[in-house]
Amino acid sequence: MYAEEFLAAHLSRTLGRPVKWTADRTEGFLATTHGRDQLNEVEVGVDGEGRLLGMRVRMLQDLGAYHQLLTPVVPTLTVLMLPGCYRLPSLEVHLSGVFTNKTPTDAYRGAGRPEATFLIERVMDHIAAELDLDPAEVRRRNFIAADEFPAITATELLYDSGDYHTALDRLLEIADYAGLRREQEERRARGEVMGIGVSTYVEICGIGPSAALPAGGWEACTVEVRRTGAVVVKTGVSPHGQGQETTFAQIVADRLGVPIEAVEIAHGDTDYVPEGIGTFGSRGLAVGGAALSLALDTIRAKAKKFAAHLLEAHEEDIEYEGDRLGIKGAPDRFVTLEDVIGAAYLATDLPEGVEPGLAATHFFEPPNFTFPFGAHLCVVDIDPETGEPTLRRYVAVDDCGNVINPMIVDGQLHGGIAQGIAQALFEEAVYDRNGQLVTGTLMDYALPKASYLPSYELHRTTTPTPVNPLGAKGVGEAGTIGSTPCVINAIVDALSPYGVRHVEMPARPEKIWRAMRSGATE
Amino acid sequence: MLPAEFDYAAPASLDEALALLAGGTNIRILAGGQSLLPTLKLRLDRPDLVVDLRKVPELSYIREEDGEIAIGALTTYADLVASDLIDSGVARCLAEAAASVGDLQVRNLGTIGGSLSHADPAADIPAAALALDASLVARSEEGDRTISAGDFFHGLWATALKPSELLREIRFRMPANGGGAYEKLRQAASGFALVGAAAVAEMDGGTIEAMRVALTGVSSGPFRLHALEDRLVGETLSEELVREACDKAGEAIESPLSDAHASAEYRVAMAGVTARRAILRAAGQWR
Repeated sequence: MYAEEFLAAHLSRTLGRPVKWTADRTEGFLATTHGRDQLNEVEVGVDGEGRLLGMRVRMLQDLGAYHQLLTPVVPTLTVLMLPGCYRLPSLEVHLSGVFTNKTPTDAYRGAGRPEATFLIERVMDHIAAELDLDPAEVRRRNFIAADEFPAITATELLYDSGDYHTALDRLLEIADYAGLRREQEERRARGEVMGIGVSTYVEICGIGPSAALPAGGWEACTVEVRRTGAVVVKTGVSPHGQGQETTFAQIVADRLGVPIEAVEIAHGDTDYVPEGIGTFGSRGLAVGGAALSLALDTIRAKAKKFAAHLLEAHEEDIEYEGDRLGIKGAPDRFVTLEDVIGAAYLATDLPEGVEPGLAATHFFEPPNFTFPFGAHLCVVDIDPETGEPTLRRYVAVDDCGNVINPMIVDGQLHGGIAQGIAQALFEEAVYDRNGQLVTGTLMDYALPKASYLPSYELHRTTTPTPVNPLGAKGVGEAGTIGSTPCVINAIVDALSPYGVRHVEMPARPEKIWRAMRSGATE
Repeated sequence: MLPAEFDYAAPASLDEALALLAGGTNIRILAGGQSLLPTLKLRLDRPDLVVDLRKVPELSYIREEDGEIAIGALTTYADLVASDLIDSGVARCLAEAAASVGDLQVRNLGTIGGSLSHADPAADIPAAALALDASLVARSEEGDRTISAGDFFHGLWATALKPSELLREIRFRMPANGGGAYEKLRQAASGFALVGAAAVAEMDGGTIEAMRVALTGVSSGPFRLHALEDRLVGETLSEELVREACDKAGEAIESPLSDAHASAEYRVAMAGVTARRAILRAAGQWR
């Protein structure tokens, strides 16, 4: 929240008229918040086979000028997620946050996890380079195995579920990793500069248990099956582009057997939806959807009571499939949801101890976070004369647990990957020596354009979470988290024949050109 | 930000526009607005009057006249890109330069005359105009005045145009044995040239009869690489020749630009690379 938003509301009350606040891009750059801005020094110990023994990190976070909503939470989340997908026996972190005279930093898609993933995924490639091992193999050797879940990490998080080996193996197979390495050898022999980058990630979603949040981490949902047959869902996870209007309506249609058009998702107006926490931290479905699921359970159970009463059967003999509630083993003996709604609202013949109507409100308190994961690979070609990188291929295998709407999940990944690629290649807030922000317009601050990006090849594995009844983990930030190290790893891989071991972000053409000339190392 | 207050006029004829220019000072001409409006919004410029030319008829055309191409000043980048005439021979350097400008929305509105008159030091079109050795026809109430592209650009946002003049037409020769190309490294945010090189070659079989190469984006304005051109004219085209000639092309840059987007060192090095690529493609069409 920014002061102007409160001011606009205050002025609106005072004036009794709508008040609109608009800010241009330059104000946005100067006076809202920025993301990232961490410097990390890493020491890592491994055995002869590249297995992690321990890691020591000195982390310096430029917080900017002011404490915003989550300013110090962001690097804290980085620390928590540093172990990544790996067995890390010991970890020591010194985190210093410093206030400077720059624009404040705050949560920006991924909020600390992209930083953690970038660090550990660069470490994996360094181990591979140091020991002359394949980077994918180093990851495999260090992965937490599928049968070790739930797994406690070095930072004492409890990873809910995962199968990192399968995701990586699928990725390498789909991308034809062995073939790409052969192609790379051939191209190098011809003087071409080609790189293959791999990153695997685990992130933290479904935020979260109330104990982890200052204002509660639960979510609330009310479902009202109206006498017209309309179903109104009141949810506290107000979407701002995440598509809960669609995914929640799908869940209702599936579970109650109503047409999707009959479902209305109400949100964002506290006159109608008094309780909720909100959509952030990839929690809309994993927490808000779980509250919806609980409410639908109650409605289904109550509908079965009505059906049993109408059919003069035992409640436990009732099966609810589609919009039919029938007796097990007697296919011609059923009532429809319409019949149940009629009985519930007519209320002249109620089952014993059952209230009229068909509505339920539930609160869901998540017992843990969820931990989606995945494996990304990209291929980059670099112009050896200019240093310009071209992303030729981008393949991702992501696992966000059970998927309700594949198109929405893919959409989240598309945007997220673009954002992560942009961090690796283009985006940078540049200040001059006097502290003046010189990238204050979109003429100077490079956003990714469609023409700068390849078409993504998206694939999935599905490992449900036991944390919530939907088995869904969340996917809002995954693309941003997996892609940045993937791209930098590809660039460093491309430049490895020049003796290059690291390139700082954003990897602009000039930086790559310089690295090729000087063989920059860490 | 919002622009400072200014008066606005949209004359319906060229004469009316010229009368406005003759009668005032601190006037800016809006030919497409793709550079002018951002400049006004950032208040880098505060004109008293903006004269919008877009209602002036007959300033948008591409014609072939007596072996020359004549282009109206209000012809958009998109029109240049779509023209078969411009996508041929030496003119191709202009087509490629126009295609590399900004994005589609900018190309639909921005104009060739606007770009040349604005004279942004990193704009693409001026390099092409220099390589084409174009004639720029300025009009005032006194009549037409033809300025060669080589005399037109006077450094940062400065041209030979007098306050009473506006650019009306761009003309250049279309030799039968000519080829053109434009090479560019883009600044990722704006799409402007970090380094841009336009080349026009006239070939006699494998021999380079004429060669003109111009750079943009690397210093305070676009300029020709005369020494490089002299080194190539009369020689037999070969990759080795062009590579050797271009290796030190960057040394011709006076006060190379250095900013947040690229250092002087990089721009100097890339000048040689882009010049070589442009020359080889321009001349190579006749191989």
